[in-house]
Amino acid sequence: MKRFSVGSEAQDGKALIRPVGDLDLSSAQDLAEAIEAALDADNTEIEVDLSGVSFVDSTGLRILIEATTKAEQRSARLSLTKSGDQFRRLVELTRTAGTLGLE
Amino acid sequence: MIDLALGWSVGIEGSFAIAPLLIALFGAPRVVLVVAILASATALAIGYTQSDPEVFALKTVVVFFAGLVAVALSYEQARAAQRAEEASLLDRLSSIGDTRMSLEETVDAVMAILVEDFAQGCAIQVVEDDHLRDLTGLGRGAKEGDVRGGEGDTGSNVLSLPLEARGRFLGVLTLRRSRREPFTAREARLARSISGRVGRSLDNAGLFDEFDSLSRRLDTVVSLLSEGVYIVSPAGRLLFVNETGSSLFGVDIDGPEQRAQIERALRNYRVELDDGTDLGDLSDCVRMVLDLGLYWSGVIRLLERSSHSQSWFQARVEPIEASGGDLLWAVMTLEDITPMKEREVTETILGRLGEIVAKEDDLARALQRFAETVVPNFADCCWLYLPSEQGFLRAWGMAHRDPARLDAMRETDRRHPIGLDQQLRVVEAQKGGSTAVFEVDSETLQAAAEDDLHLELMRKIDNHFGLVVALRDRGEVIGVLAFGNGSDSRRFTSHDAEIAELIGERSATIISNARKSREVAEITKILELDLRPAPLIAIPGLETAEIFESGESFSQVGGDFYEALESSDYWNIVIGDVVGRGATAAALSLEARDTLRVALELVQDPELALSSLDARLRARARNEQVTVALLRLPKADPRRLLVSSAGHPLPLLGDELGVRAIGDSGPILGLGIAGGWPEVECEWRDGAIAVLYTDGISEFRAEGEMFGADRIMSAMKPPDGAGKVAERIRSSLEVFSHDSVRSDDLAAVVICNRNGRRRSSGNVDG
Repeated sequence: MKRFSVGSEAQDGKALIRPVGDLDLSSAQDLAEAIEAALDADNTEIEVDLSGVSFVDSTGLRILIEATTKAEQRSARLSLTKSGDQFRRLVELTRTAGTLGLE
Repeated sequence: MIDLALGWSVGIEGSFAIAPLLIALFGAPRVVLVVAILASATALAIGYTQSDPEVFALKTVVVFFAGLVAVALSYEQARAAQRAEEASLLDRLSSIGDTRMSLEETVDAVMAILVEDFAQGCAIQVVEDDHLRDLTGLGRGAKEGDVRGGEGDTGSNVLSLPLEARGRFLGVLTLRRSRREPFTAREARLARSISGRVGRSLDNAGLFDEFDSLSRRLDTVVSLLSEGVYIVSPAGRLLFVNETGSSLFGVDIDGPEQRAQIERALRNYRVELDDGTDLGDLSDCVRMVLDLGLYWSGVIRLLERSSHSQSWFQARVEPIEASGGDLLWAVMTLEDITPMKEREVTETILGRLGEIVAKEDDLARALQRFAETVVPNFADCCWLYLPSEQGFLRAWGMAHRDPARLDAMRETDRRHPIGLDQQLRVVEAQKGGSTAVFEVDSETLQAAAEDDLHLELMRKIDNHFGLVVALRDRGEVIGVLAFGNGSDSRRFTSHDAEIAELIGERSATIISNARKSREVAEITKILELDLRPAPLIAIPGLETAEIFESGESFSQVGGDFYEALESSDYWNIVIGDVVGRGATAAALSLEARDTLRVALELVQDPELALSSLDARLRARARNEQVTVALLRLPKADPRRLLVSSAGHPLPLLGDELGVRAIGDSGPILGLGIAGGWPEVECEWRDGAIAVLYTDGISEFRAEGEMFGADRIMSAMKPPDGAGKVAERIRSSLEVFSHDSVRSDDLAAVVICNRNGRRRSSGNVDG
């Protein structure tokens, strides 16, 4: 299992968050905290670059759904980009593309 | 002979010549002169009237000649005496310069000699900071206004002479006499010699005084130091010790005996380095450092052998070498840092114990680390006992500074376990009933020994000074913490008892936490067993098999569930997965199962059941999701299979057409996503196999690879029965997993259509 890490940078109200590793029960909270920090810093556009994430389980999915909801509540936009096949299959299976703004 | 030659009057007249000669032997020159003149005058008067001219002339010449000789003898004798006095005077002045008198004493002695033997008054002025300082007040006999007259005046009643030594002008010597006895030229010359000697004496006195002053200042400075200062010879003899250094070893007398006492005291101390390394006697340590000839600095602990007390010192030893490199002596300083060091030791120990409490979740490891943390800085050895069910104390943590003695501790614990009551009696006998400080003498040891080997082991451990703390949690004794110090170590104090209680509190915390964790684990285990899916109920015409393995995260219950439910028209097989773990997930799992059971049994509408659960989940305060797959088997039509899915991996169907996923995935439950959960109908052929599984199986990963649905599908070939397929899935998982840790539950339900066999044989498999 890959060690999970989260990199983030922000400029002019835009934040880019790059999680790397498996997004599951053991790591999802780290990503949630990174997104929360970006929202707390008043970033209005948050991009979560999922190119480094090879696997997302149901907990990871839940964290992303929660983050998307929180962003909407704070008038910010959270976008998930560069996701892999496994994540896309999970989104399709759970029909959460609309919730996650992937449609 | 004179009388015979000159007649009867010769005897009388001869006395005029002899008298001055005789007086010259004892009298001063002036007296001799007067006597000679009188004798000559008397001889002239008598001879003029009574003698013939020739005789008269002869007698007169003789008397005059004798007078002259007497006067000459007298003056010569007086000069010799004066030279002797001068030499004596100069010698005495010189002798002053050869002694180690202070400046004050020197001035006093010089003035005493000069005023008594050379002058009536004397004054000495010395150069100091470019002006003359009058030392008159220092000596006796000097009077104000004595400093007058020119340098080297002769025939004067005042002489002012330069004081010089080693080419340096030191000051002025002023000598005074009354006007009736002015200094002669000879005395003036003598005065120059005197001033030379006085100058040398003052120079010496000045040097000695300067040295003494320096020494005194050094003594004063050193005595003010809070450090003990010791100067030690290469042979290890103590040459100097300041007041603090003396008091550090309880010696307060001064003089040679002081150093001897301190030397004896040094041998009564054992030295340890900060890390507990035993260095032996303090005197040996000093000698060792001397032998090495190196500067050494460090923190040492001194253990006093008679009182068994300890002190901490910042020690420094600095060798002082001669120009040739030979060791002259060494300066050792000891600064008493006991209060600071004891505070530091306590804080360090408690800090480390706090870390263990916070981070270590394994009780055995934690208690062992506890014991190791307090040794050797707090105690030589430590036991951390927990009571066993049999009422004995078993050491869960043991440490000793000496590994050989640790073996003896282990052996004693194994062979001779201590009774809890036995330890508690020791503790409860003390004031407060929580801590006991005691000393174990040889008689006590013998009385406590169960046999000779036990006695030998206890002697080897050498627990001479003991400290025991009862560990309590809400009044209940949950353990015992024991410390020991060897017979050559220190006695535990009441302050140690206070620290031990703090250590005991932390020990009790970790034991209490472990007990709570164990209780939580037990509760979790019970909960998990309750939540574990029950065996499926028998369904007519179906062979069923199940796979369920909970994840390795033992304390995190929740996760997967499956169930077979009967409603009036259908057999329902539900499999689901709760997102998340722990108590919340467990509660959610129960709620999901209950909601689905009620909806499916009463309403028989899968979409309504799933939407009801979706609504229930959204009504909960937490953001929670559940995925569900549902198979319905109409009782009236055993060749049909109805499939619904809410964000769950689609069930797999295997029959003569092959293995494939069936159904259409609807949205995950709990998010209120529109679109519904359409039910898909499939043909349920005779002998067909259907597998419902959770993502715990399909997404199980080992060595970077995912198990995947393909392996499940492979295991479904051939479709030779639910039990065999389930066994192949299980084997495949086992091969795939190697030794990888499963973090998620694994759940699957395998069903096989046996309706054809049922129809042909009338039996039901299941």
